[in-house]
Amino acid sequence: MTETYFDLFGVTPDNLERLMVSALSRGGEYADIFFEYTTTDELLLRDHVVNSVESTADYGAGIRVIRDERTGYAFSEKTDMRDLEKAALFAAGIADAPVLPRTAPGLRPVQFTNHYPILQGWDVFTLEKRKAWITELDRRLHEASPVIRKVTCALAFSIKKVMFYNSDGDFFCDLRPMTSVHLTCVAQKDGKSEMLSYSRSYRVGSEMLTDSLRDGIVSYIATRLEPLFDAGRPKGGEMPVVLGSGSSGILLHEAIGHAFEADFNRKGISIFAERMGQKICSEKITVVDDGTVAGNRGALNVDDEGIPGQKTYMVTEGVLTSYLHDRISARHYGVAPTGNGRRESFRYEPIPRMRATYMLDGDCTEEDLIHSVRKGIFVDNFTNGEVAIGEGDFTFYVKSGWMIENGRLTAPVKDINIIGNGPQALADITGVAANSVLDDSTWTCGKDQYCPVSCGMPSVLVSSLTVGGSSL
Amino acid sequence: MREEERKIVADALQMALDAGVDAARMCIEASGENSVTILDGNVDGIMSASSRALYMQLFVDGHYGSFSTNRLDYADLREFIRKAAESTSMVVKDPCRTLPRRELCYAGDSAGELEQCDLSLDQMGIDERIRLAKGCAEEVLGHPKLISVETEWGDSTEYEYMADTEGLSVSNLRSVCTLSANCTIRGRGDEKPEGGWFDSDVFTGKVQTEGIGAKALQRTLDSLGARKTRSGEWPLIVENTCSSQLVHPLISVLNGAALQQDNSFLKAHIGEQLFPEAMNIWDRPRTRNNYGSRCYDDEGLATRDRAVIDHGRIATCFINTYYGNKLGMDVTVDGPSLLRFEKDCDITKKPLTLQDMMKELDKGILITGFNGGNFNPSTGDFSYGVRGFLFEGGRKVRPVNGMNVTGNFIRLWQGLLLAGDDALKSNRWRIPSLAFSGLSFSGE
Repeated sequence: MTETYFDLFGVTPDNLERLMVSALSRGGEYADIFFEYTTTDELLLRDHVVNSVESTADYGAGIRVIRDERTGYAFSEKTDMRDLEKAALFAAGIADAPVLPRTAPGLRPVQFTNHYPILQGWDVFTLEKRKAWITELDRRLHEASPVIRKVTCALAFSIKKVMFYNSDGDFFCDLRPMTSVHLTCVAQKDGKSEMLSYSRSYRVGSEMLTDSLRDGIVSYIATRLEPLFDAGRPKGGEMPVVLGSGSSGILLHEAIGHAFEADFNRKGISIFAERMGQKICSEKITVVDDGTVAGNRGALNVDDEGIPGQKTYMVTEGVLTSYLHDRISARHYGVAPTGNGRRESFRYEPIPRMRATYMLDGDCTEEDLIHSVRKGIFVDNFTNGEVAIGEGDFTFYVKSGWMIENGRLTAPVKDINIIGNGPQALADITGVAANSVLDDSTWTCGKDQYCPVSCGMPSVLVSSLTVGGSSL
Repeated sequence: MREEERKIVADALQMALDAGVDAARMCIEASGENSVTILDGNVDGIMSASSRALYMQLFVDGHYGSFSTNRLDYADLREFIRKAAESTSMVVKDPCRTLPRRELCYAGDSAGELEQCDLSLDQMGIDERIRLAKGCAEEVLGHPKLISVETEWGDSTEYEYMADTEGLSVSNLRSVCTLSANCTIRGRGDEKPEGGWFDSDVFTGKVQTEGIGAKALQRTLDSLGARKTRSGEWPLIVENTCSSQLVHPLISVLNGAALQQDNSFLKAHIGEQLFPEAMNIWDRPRTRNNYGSRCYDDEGLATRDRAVIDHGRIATCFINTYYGNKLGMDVTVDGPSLLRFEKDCDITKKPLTLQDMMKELDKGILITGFNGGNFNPSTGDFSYGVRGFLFEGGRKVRPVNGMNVTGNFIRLWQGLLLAGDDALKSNRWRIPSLAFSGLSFSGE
């Protein structure tokens, strides 16, 4: 495979070593070179037929030089030595220190486990088969839910080929697949319109497109779409919120995940900046960020700085045990990198990013949590979230859920924003169920750059969050 | 360099015809960008980049495909186009996919007409970029409340050339420069409030270089002690920094895709006088010296001034060739370029500042930023997190945060009371501060 990647990017090991000498020529302490070739193919269904195809190809290399936590970065979309040398020399300019003659280390392969083997390539699942799979999905959706008026569906697969070398000699090649299906249904009933979206995404090949996946999509839409017509908004204000298992993991991503990314802490701007080793929530709570979940959207064999994929315990039985580090922050804190140095593409320098972030199981049931609430809401379907790192205020938008009245789910609710404060919300988790699930939707984190992630959680009870709603 | 890019487009069109396509459109985009980041007064990062990619739409015997690549070596490109044409021919035919009608396309000198590029950027060195960003940081360094200040100078230049097999040939050149500052200060307990400010312009010399850091710090200091206020119905003012967020949902459901998919809460109201007479939003795409201006859209359709909301009446939908064919509607353009809220018939008949507006309303919530939230395009229902100030007696009383505002966009805009005269030139859409009658706020 390695030889193929050298061919793909048109360079040799000697070329890499020569570039490294250029990158370090102004006194840089560390440098890395990241080659990438990503292809994406997508089929689009609209008005019952697959009538559009899209493909993209993106190719280039980025060169980073670090000196005293400062970063010089440049990239080139051509990988001939003249352009790469130019990029290396620009990035080298971040340093301006006395330079001793340097030699580049030889290539030392990084050892890692493959967390995303492709069991069935896309060449096997031909374009005709893909068209048939989506078209059948569309037919079954209309059949299962007669209120559906329109369906749009996109089926996408991408392959990212990466080759990496750094000034420590670390060298790796990685092939990162991603297959995704995303659909939106628009329904009409009694003169009213509603819409509902659904997605699934994995680091796998075409083996993802099974009958059971299609059955699951149809069942989800058939169950969830029609109740939206009867859903309303609750009376807004502070109230207990039961977060259902799975996609409620967005709470972790927004409420604490970003605040644990060590670049914010290195700059002292995170609300958790001085809390390492402290108890920050109930001992029932353990939160991990994991790059090793096989086939998961957030999985990484090796991060974009050459650190093998790993599982990082951020909160262990209520105690803050680790930030999420890239090389710069790990050096700042004097700890080992955690494999969270990620980048959207060769156009960007790596920064600390989450992978698959989830909470481990607690000790009760979801029913126990709902029964314990006299008046509040239950939510389990979300579209997006956001956080203000310094204040710790996070929000997430609830597409659908239910009122809880006297321990029972009553009326459906929809289209409400929930807002809370990260440390406070963590401290206010008073119950954790034993039903943790990783959600496999197309979660994409947009912290300066876009990166695929996933999130998950068991059902939890937060004793108080601010819920959007009517004032009546 | 530009001749080289024109040649790539011309050759790629020929490659597409050689591969069996009936018609094609190609657009090459070439950009260069530079940025300098200063953390607490010291250089934290420098970046330089140049990119070039070719975007293509292929029409093969009634089939349609859309493609892009930055591998422009001719052997690679020819193979990419051959495969693209092959996969295009395998999807279901769609007779609505056509190139735009020639008479609707732009044919002038866009770069000359819009003058939206600072050619002197080529001469700007990294030392000057560092000086500007450092100067911004120095305005606030040493303040006792300050934890961290990050400032950045960034600039980019973009050239594009678009041509199709029906004779379209248009190009444009534009630039933008931005100076920004973000401050983090000590708040209550572990809280570290943050805030920012920025200015941008097409021309380096027109970017405000003094006062950006100071304003970022002042806005952050003003937010100290923010907390929720009681839930209830409050009149509101949305500051010019974020009022565009209330216009975006309207625009997004007036495009062809939303209308054709019945995913638009405004579809049933097109042409109606739905909103107050004072609501007057125009698209002014040919505004000179403005980054967001454009003479043509993504398929070459010529832009022109249009009333989008004309004295409360929904006057324009954004319909490209495909959705025009599908819906049987007149083709306009694919979206707005420079939206302006125009006040030729404002209720008050006089220029208004933010302070004037608070006095007029006497009491309510001033929103200075949104924190998350979303809206339902089918119904217009929305719910957003907000921060800002409680005001009473026409004056800010205290900062608020951690609250949600919830409502419906039709009813929100029907309750428009006042529009300020304070639209920011640095924002892509020129929407001033806006005042509305009561909405539901959820807090304590």
